[in-house]
Amino acid sequence: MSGRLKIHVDQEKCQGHARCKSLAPELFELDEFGNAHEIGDGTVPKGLEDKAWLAQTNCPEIAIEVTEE
Amino acid sequence: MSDQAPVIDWVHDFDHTDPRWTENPFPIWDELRAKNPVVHTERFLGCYLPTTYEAVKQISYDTEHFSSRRVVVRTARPEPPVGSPPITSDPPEHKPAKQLLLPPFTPDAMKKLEPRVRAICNELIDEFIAEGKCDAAARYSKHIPVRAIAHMLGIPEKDGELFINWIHDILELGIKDDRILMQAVQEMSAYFAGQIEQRKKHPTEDLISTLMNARDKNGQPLSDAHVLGTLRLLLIAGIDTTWSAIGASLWHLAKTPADRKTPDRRARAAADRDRGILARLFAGDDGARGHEGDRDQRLPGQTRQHGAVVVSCRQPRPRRVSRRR
Repeated sequence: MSGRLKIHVDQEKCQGHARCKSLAPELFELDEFGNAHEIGDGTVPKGLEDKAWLAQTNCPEIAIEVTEE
Repeated sequence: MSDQAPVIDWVHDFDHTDPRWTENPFPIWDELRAKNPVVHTERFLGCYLPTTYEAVKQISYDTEHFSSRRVVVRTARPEPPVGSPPITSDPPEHKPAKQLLLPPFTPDAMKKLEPRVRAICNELIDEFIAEGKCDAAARYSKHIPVRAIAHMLGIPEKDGELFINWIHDILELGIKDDRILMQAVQEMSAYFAGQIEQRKKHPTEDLISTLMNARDKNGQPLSDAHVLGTLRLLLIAGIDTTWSAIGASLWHLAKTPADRKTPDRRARAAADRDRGILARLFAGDDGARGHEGDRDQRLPGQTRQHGAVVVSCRQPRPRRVSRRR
């Protein structure tokens, strides 16, 4: 049905609400300033796809891109 | 009670202060969304409401045409608008003003605050536990952020009643009465100006001192007006948004027994369900925010009028994969 998902946090848009980190700590980390980044190259491990969508839907800044490879 | 005529036609005459809207806006939004991606009302000196995810996104990121300088929709638009950076800031000032506030609010910083907040919650619960029931909004939710933000700012928690009254005047009564609004803003500004003066003589390690010691992107101290505006924002946003979120969360749990069962955090399925609840509670925290148009700008389905205010409420995102370029 679908290929592997990849996530990316747009640093221009992220304002550090950290909801993604609360909802999907396996996929996102915060830097020293509180801005969120995808962990590693952003590839979503199998089984965590729903968390990627949950984080994207809940980002108040619309800063999370989810792409299908 | 409202001094406005009751709404009969939501599509052409909406009123986001109508009790039916504040009680449950979702069916109204569904109706509006089915009609138009942007709807208009003559109320509040004329304002627009984007009803779809795409329209909200378009307006939010079109900072060339839509300013954040005025974020609350009122029946008066005093000039100049009262600044409370970063919420009233536009690019390029917005990001640096917001970055200054991030470190004290990271999850790690919050962990350090947790013992005090837990103690506050326990003190509040102790006051009504013997009664076996309480109005959770009035006796619990309302007081947690007031005391917590006072603790963070380094101001007396006993001044909480003052803060509650200012917020009530600014965000509720002040929407329709400019005199009440300005009086509350002036009182709040005078209060914080006094706190700043005290810290110039006796520096502290609280959030007010953090702001006073902060530097802008050019390495210069923030102006007193910037510090004061940000303190007003921290007090209002730190309290109003949070008591609403806590109150709405408790209301949701009260009405939804399935979500009330204690999740076993060691079990993966339960942890996932816990996050599902968290996501739903986050959704309850997405309030409305105003933007003010700078020049004629065409909105989807509307002919734009100069300077009208647009209200943005978070709208559901159609779930789909964005295609890789």
